[in-house]
Amino acid sequence: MNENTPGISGSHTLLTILFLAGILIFGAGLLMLLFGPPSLKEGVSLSCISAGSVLMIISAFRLTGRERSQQDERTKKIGTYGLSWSWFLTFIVLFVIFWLSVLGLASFDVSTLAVFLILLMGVSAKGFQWWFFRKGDVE
Amino acid sequence: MQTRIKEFRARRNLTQADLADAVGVRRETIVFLERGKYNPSLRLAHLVAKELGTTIDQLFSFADEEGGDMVLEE
Repeated sequence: MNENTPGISGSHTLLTILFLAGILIFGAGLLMLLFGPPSLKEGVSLSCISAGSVLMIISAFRLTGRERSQQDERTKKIGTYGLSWSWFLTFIVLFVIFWLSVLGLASFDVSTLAVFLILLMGVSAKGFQWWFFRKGDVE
Repeated sequence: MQTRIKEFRARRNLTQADLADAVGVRRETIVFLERGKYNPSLRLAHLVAKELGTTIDQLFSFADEEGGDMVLEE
């Protein structure tokens, strides 16, 4: 559809900026981890490395162009709904985890929880999108 | 939702891929449209109707819960 043409060059620029930002953040995290003061090594450097990696991987994947050229209004709609439902599921899970922790029924360390949430968001988004693609629409 | 896309497409000897290319969507989108499983945007409905040489109201029909045709009241 012709309406997609102007958006592609715009999103290409944005994705390139995100990819470069990812490299910078990843590099900064790596430098902090190797040469920075001990106070930065644990939290800040690992956060930068994780955030930079995620930015780089996602933007590089989208920059390949294969996925973009195959998108239309239905795939965009399904992609958006998949992410929305994934966000909602993560919100519910966080709510449950919070109350489990407050009531003393379970406790989680930050690293475990972070990895769990990263996986939950990624896997559930793909799961919801797969389900909607099978149905054909989100309704 | 019911559509007559397949019927109009056959009259013009177009494949699903041809129609998909002409209106700029994936072939799967045309498949789901023909099955009545995808509710298209007004723009896509217009493009499909234009490509098939017909109008939107000839291509798409909606039935209410009791099975009758949906009628817009004035």
